[in-house]
Amino acid sequence: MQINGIDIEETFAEAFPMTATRLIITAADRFWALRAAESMTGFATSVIACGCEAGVEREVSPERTPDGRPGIAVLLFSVSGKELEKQVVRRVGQCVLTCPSTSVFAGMEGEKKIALGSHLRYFGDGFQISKIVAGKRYWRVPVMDGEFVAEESTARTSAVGGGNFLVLSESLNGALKACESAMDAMRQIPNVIMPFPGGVARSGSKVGSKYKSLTASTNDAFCPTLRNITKTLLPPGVGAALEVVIDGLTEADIARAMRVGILAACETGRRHGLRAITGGNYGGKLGQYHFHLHEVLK
Amino acid sequence: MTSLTLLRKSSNCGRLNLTGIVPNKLLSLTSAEMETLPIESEHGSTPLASQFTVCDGDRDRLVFDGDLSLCDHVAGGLLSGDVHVLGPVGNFLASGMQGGRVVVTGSAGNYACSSLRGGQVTIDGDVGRYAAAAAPGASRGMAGGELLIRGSADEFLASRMRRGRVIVHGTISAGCASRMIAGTIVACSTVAMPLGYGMARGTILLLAPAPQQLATGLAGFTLPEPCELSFLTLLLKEVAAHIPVPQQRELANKPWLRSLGDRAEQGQGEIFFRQSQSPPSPSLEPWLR
Repeated sequence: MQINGIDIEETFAEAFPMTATRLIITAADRFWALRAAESMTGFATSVIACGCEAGVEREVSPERTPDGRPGIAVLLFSVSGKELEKQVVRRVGQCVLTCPSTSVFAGMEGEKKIALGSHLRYFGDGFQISKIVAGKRYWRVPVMDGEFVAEESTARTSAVGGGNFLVLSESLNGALKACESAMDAMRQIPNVIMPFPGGVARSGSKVGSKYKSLTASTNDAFCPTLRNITKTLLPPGVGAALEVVIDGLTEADIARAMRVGILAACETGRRHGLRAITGGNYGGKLGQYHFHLHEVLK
Repeated sequence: MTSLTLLRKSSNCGRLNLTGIVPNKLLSLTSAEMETLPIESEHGSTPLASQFTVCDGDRDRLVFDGDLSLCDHVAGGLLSGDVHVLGPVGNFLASGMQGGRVVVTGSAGNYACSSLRGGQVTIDGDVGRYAAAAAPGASRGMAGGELLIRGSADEFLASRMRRGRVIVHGTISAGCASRMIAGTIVACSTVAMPLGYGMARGTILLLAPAPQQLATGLAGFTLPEPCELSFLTLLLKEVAAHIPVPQQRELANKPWLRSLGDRAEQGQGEIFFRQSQSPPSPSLEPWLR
C-alpha cells in the first residue's frame, strides 16, 4: 500500500489495556488553566517509569465547564485503578491545587470511581466545606487566593494504551516535519492523547533487555546508527525513525487518530523525504490490541 | 392510563396519619386491598376507604384530591414514584421520604420535610413552622433531597437542617437556619431576623436586598467581605432553574458578600448576600432564562 507515494508497511501496531480518566481543569482564564494542565501532565510519558501517561486532550469553552470558566480537559492513563488514583491525587494536589484560581472536576461519568476531592480536602485542615450541587459532591478548600473547588471523585474507564505508528524518513528534519503535521491533525481527535514530548518518541523501545533489571530497551532494529550491526528493519535510505504514541479511551479512538495522523504525515512527508510508515510490532508480546495499518487506513 | 387517585371524603374523625400511603407501597395491591388498608386516625385505626374514594390507575403516580389539612405524614415513607396533592396538607409532609417526587398545590402545615432524606418536594403554597427542621425528639432535621416552597415559610425554617437544599420564593420568618448543621437555603424574598443563630455549617444564599443587620454585621457572624468564589457559580447555575425569573436576573449581579458564623458556637456557616444592585456579570448571562 502507498499513500502519496509513501510506503505503508503491511504490519500492525501493538497496544495494551489500560484504565483512564478525564479531568476538567478550570481557572480564571485560559492561561492559568493551561499552566495547571501542562504541569499535572508533565513527566507522564510512559507508565514504565512515570506511573501514568497523561496529556492535554482539548480546551473546553466556558459554556461547557461546570463553573463557567475556561477549561482544559486532560486524560490520564495507568495500568490499574489503584495506580491511577494515586497519580491523580498526587498530580492534582501538587500541580492543580497549587496553581492560582484553578478548580478541578470529573470529566467522565461511570460506575468505577477514583478519589479526587475526597482525598485533597484534607489540605483544608478542617476548614474545608463539602457541598452537594445537582447531585454531585464538591469540596471547597480554602487557599490563599480564595477557594480550591474539587469534585469528590471522577470516573475511570477501560482504555487502550500504546497505539502507535513509526515515521521512517531520509532525514531527521523530514521525520520531524511529518510528525508535526501528524500531531496537528491528531490533536483535533477527541478521546486520545499523545503522551510523549510533542506527541513523538525518538527512543522507541522493544520489550526486554540484556540487562535483567530492565523491562524495555532501545529498539535497535530502528536505530540508524546500528544498521550494520543489528537486524535492522530500516529500509535503505532511511536516516531517522520517530514513533508517534497514542493512548485512547477505545480502540476506535486510537484507530481514528492513527488514520488521521498517518494521512497527515504522508501529505507533508513526501516533500521532506518521508519514505515509509510502519507500526510498533513486537511479535504479539506487548499487547492484545493489534492495529493493522492497512485496515486502519481503509 | 390515569393516575391512582384518592378522593378525600368529608369526615369528622380528626387528624389522620397517612404514612405508607405511597406508590411504592401500593404497587402490588389490588383496588380492594387498598380500600381496606388501615390508617391511623385520632379515634384509632380506620380503613382507607372510609376516608378516601379510591379511583384505581397508574400506581407510579398517586393523586390526593381534596383538603388534606388534617392529614399528617402525607407521602411519608415515599421511596419512588410521584405523589401529587391537589389541595393543602397537614403536618409532617414527606416524613422519612427517601426518593421520588411530591407536589402539593396548596399549603403545608408544620414540620414539612423535617425528616426528608431524598427526592424532590414542591409546595406551591406556604409552609408552617419548622419546615426542613428537626422534628420533636429528633436531633437533626432534613437530611437530603430538595424542597421548593413557592409561598412563604413560617418560623424556624431549616432549624438543625443536616443536608439537602431548600429554596423559598416567599418571605421567611424568624429563626431560619438556627443551629443549622449543613445544607443549602436559598431565599428569594425577605428573611426576618434572627437568622442563622447557632449555625454550625451550611450555606444561606439571600437573593433579596440584605437586611440592615447583615450589612453592618450580624451578631455572631464575621463582618461581610466581598468574595468571588467559583463555587458560587456552580450553585447559582443549579439554583437558576428553580427560582422566579426576576430573581434569576439577580443571580448574575455582583459582588457577593459573605459572613461566616455563628462564631459564638465556633460555626463556619456562610451567608451570601449583596448590598446593592450592580450590572449582571456577562459570564452568567447564558444560564438565565
